[in-house]
Amino acid sequence: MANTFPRWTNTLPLKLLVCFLFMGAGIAGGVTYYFTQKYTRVGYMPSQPIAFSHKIHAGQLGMDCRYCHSFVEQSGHANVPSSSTCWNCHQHVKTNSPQIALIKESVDTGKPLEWVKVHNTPDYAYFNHSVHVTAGVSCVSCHGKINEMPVVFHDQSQSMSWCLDCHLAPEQHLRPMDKITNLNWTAKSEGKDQKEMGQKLKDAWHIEPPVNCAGCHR
Amino acid sequence: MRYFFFACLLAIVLVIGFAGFRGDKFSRPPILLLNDMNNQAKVKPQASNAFFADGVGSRKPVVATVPMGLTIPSKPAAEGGYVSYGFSHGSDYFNSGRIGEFWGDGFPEQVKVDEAFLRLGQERYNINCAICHGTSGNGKGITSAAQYGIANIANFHTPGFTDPKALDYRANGSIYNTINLGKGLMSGYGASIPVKERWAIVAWVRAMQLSRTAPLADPSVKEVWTALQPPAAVK
Repeated sequence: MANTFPRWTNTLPLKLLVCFLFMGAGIAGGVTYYFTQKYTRVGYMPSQPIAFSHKIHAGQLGMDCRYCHSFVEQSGHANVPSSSTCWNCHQHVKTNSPQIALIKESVDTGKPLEWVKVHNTPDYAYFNHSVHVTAGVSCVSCHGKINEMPVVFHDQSQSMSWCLDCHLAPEQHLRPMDKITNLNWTAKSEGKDQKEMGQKLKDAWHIEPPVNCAGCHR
Repeated sequence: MRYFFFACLLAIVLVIGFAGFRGDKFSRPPILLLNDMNNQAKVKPQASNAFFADGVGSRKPVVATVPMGLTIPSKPAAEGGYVSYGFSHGSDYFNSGRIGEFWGDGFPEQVKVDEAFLRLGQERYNINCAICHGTSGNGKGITSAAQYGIANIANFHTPGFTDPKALDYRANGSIYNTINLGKGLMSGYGASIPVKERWAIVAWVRAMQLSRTAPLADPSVKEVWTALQPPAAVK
C-alpha cells in the first residue's frame, strides 16, 4: 500500500503548532503594546488656534499656572482662560503679532477661541481638579512638565489603572501645598525622600483616595 | 517554514512602520478603542454645544440679573449671608470699595485680617499681580518697560500711595476697585479673583508698603527683621 500522506506531513502538526504560537504571541504582543492609552493618547499634540507656548509663559516668565487656570482650586473643571485674560498683558505686549490679532478679534466680538482639548476624561468618569490640587497633587503628576512644552502634548496615559496607581499609593505624589504649581520641584531637589515625606503629608491631611468604583463612576 | 518567519518579520515591520511607537507625537484625534458613552450629550464646561444658536455651551448670566456667586448663600445678603467664595456685586463697601460716593479705607467687617489672610493675599498677589507689579510691589515685574515694555506700572512704594494727606493717596477701597475693575492701562481682575481674595491682596499691598517704612526702633519690628537676616558668613 502506497503512502497516503507524503513524508513532509510528518512534521506538519509541529510546524502548525509553531506557526500558531508565533502568531498568537505576535497578536498578544501587539495588543498589549498598542491597545492601551499609553499608545493611543500619549503624544497627542493637536495644533491649536494660536501658537501659545507654555514654555515661554510658565517656564521662562515664571507665571503661575493659576494666573490663567484661575479656578483650578475651586472648580472641578480647570478653566481655559478667557481671551480677556490674554488681553491683560497682550494689549501692551507684542501687539503687532498676527496671533495677537486673533485674540483681539475674540475680545472684540466675544466669540471664544476654539482651543483643542488635549486631555479628555471620558464622560462616565467624574474627575475633579480642585479636590486633587488642594490635596497636594501637583499639576506635573498628571500633565507632565508643561512648563517645558512649546506645544502641549499628552504626557501621561491617564488610563484607569494609572489613576488607581496613585489612588492606592498617593504618598508617591503628594507634596507641600506651596509647591503645587512649581513643576520643577521634586522632593529630591530639597534632599527629601518622596515616599517618607508623602507618607507624612498623607497622615497629616488624612488623604484617603477612593478606590471603589463609585468614587469616579457616579 | 522559512517563508513563514519572513512573513512574520514583514508583518512586524509593517505594523511598527504604520503604527509607530508609544509616545510618538501626533496631531490627529486619538483613536478610541471603545467609544461607549465616552462622549455623552450633556452640557460640559467650556465646551461647544450645538443646542444653542451661538454654539457656546457656557451661558452668560441673563441681562439685568445679579449673579450671586458660585454658591447660593444660606442667608440673604442683608443679614450678612456672604459666601466665602463668590463674585457678588453688591453696592456695600465689601463689594464695591465705596462708602457712599467716596472710597472707603480700612477693611470691611466681612474679612478678618490675620496672618492667614495676609498669606492668602501674598499667594494671590504673587499669582495675579507680581508679573507686572513685581514680587516686592516696586512696579518692576517681568512685563515691565525694561523687559516687555509695559510702561507706567504702579509702584506701591511711591510716597503718596501711603500718605492719607497726599493728593495721590490710594485708600483701600480704591485699591480694591482697581483690582476689581482695573484702572488706566490695567484691566480689571474681578473676573478671576473673588471678592475675599481681592481684599486679601489689598492687605498684602499694605503689608509690603509697611515693610519699607516700618521703624527699626520698634522692638517688634526689630525682632522680625533680625530673624530674617541671612546668617553671618563663616570664615
